[in-house]
Amino acid sequence: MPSTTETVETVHAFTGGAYKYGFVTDVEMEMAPKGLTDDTVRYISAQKNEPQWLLDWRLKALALWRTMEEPKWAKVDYPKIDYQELHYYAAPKSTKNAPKSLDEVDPELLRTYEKLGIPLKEQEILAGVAVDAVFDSVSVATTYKAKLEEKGIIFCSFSEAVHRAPELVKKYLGSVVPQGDNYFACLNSAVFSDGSFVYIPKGVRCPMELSTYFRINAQNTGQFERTLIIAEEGSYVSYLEGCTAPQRDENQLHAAVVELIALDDAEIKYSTVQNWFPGDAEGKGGIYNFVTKRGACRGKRSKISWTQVETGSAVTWKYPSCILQGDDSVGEFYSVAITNNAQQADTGTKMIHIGKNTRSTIVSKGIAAGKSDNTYRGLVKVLAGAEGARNYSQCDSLLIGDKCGAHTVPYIESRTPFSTLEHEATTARISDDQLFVCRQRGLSSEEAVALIVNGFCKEVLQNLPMEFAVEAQKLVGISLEGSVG
Amino acid sequence: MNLIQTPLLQDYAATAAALPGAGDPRVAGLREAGAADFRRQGLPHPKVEAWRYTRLKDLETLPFGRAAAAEAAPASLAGAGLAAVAARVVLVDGRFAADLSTLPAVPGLTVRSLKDCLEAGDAAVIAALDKGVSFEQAPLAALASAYLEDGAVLAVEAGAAVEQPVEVVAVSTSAAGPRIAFPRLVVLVGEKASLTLVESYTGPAHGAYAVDAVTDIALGEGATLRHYVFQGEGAEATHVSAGRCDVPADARYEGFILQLGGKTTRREMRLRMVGSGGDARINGAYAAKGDGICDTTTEVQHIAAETTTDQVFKGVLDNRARGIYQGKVHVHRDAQRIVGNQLHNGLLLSRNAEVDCKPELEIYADDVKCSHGATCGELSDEQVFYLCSRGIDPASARALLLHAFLAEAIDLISDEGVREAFSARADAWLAERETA
Repeated sequence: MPSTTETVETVHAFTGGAYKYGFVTDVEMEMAPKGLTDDTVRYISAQKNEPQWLLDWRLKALALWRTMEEPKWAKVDYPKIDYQELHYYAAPKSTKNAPKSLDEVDPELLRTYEKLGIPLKEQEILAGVAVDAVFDSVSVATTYKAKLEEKGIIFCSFSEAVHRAPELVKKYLGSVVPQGDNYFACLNSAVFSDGSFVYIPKGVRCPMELSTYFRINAQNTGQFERTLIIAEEGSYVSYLEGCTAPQRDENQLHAAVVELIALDDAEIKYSTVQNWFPGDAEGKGGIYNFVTKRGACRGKRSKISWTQVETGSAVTWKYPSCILQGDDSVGEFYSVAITNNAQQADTGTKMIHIGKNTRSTIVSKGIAAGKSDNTYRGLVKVLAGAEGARNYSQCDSLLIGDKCGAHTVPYIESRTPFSTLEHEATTARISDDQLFVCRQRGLSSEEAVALIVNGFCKEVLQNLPMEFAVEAQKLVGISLEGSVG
Repeated sequence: MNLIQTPLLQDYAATAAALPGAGDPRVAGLREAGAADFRRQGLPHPKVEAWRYTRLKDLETLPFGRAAAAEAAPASLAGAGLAAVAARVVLVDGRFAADLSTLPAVPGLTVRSLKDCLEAGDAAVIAALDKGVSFEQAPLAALASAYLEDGAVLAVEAGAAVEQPVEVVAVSTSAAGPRIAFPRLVVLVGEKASLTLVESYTGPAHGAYAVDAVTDIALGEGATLRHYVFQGEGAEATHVSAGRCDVPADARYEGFILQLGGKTTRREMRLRMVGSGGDARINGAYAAKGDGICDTTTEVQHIAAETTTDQVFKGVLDNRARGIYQGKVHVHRDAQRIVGNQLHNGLLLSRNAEVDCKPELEIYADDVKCSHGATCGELSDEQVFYLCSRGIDPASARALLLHAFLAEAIDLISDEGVREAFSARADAWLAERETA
């Protein structure tokens, strides 16, 4: 099978390629001392001028975290993390005197974003996208704020929200992902640095896609974002999240928590393109991505939709979930996960059906190349009261090369007869017949594989907002570039 | 991990010294390993991933003791209700009962008691007990090995064909206090030989008892085994079993598991496809009612290239019953050109019934075609309506649809006699449900 051999060879060629976003920005940093103690938490809290209740909340989480054990059930393998060897806070110094406009932002930072392909100025003028850019832990610039404020929408950094909308933060923080939910979420609750906060008032349709670019910088700094999105009755918001990180040698820990709350008739669309540094051919230097993302459809007829394109990170541990509490609420999960080299991804979703006539759709596409491992792990649970619940799950895996692994671990639990659950999964490789047909029509083998894999992912990619679809397709394209002929 | 305390191994040291073959270090070693394994793991509980849906509550709470020899006469030896068999082996409380068995001379087939084989130190039997698929996360199989005492050994010599079914009826008797029996089966099928084997498990209709069964199968190259299991335990029984089989080159394994009885039951089958051209099917049907928990767990390891497996399971759950299907297909590195399929359909007949399903694929080779499908829901109103519109009353329409639902699995049994007997057993369960 020459095509397979070619594929393997070119995947190998690709793995040799340097990471496009591998660079370190030289900005003066303000760091918390290494290690994790009550004092670290106090330091972080003090840096952000946080109220007492939030500090207490963090300390409670830390106390809980000390009693917990790191989970071992995921099909990922990484060296033991020494949590005392990490810095838990890093802030670019120049933000001490918070910039009033883009002109005041450290030009070094702006150049970093330019290299990443997000020129803020251009976006402000052209894209109609409000960007809340997180550079290591502190939000440095937010655009389009005024426009959003007109509608009553709050879109700001998390630390700002603590002061601007304390009652909302207090009410909803930890209400979807409680402090003791899991090991990494608990760690995040204790030391979260910053993140985004979105509040959409009743009946408001957010006029633009909200987006944040996360970027990890500074040696040995774990980044612990905390994102909270609240969509009031009848509102709609689409939120985009994209990530890149510079190249370095030591593994970096990333443990984010995202909480979404949708009330009656509200809809939240959350899209992610994750392209963090996957490490070298052995996975060395790559990001550890242990993320807890969960949305609660609290209201009737509410809807939460997760779309993710996961191409980066050495280890991914991520299960964006929906708790379908409100009657007739809808949860969706669309995922493309591409692993290469020594990357490991254990990702999937949880759909918990509680309300009547709740519906969920899961479409997961896993592509494994090199000697990577790609696992789908998902739970569909229908509780006794969820009459009329409906779930459709489809998990397809594509293997490129004979050293990689693709795994599917679905859990399906149904407690009511008045529900219909369907799950199907397939695992296969690109068939020689498919390649042959494309070649016969005059496509090069690279074009053929690109076509086939694009077709394989299409159901997911077409769910991304247009602004992101372009980037996602590019990412998939880059991943495929070297993989054939 | 917290260990669940159990008195099940309490009298182990004293008992083991008196068990057959205790002087043989190979046999004693097997028992010791089993006991050590069980001590380490304890009774399984939901924190153990492989046991997340099934808790052996009765074994945890009731003072179970090891069933002593022939405490009472068995109520019935009907087993699966087969019309014709080549031989019928009866195990009473796990012990070989020669006087109750029907053992005509069948060319190529030898039937012995496990006790005799252990006492004689039969190398082939001890090897079959010792090797094969691992019993990781199967603490009850370890417990059974600790109390390894008796059971049946079936051997078919190379090239021989035993076409008519050989039935092993493992029957539990009611006795004072809850008792646990350890029926053990060793099946040796020589090269290019074939055997049709039916395992039937029955016991008293009322009263708590437990069965901890283990079946070890050794197939020769090109051998064929049709392995059908009927689990028709009494309403308060706990039934746990583990089967293991290596499928070598060009061998064929056809398994079917019908579970209709018991309170808490779990049948586990582990296959290793170790030779190219090996083919295995494990199908099954189950039905549970009351507070029953019915668990079917399979694990298939594709180690050699060019092997195929297929699984179809169908389950019906009534009242507050819970049905569980866990299936794992593991394709090892370099095991290319594999086909592995799994299908599970669960049907819930009552508001409080539950079905839990975990079909798992773990794949390390690229030239494979693996799939799994799982559905659960209720009987389709449209189908019932269609039948009603043809003049069939709703109750009969439902019964017909349920029969058809289970028949989709049962029809996969290739032996006609067994298929008919199993179908009749399933129908009897459905009829009983209708009248209840």
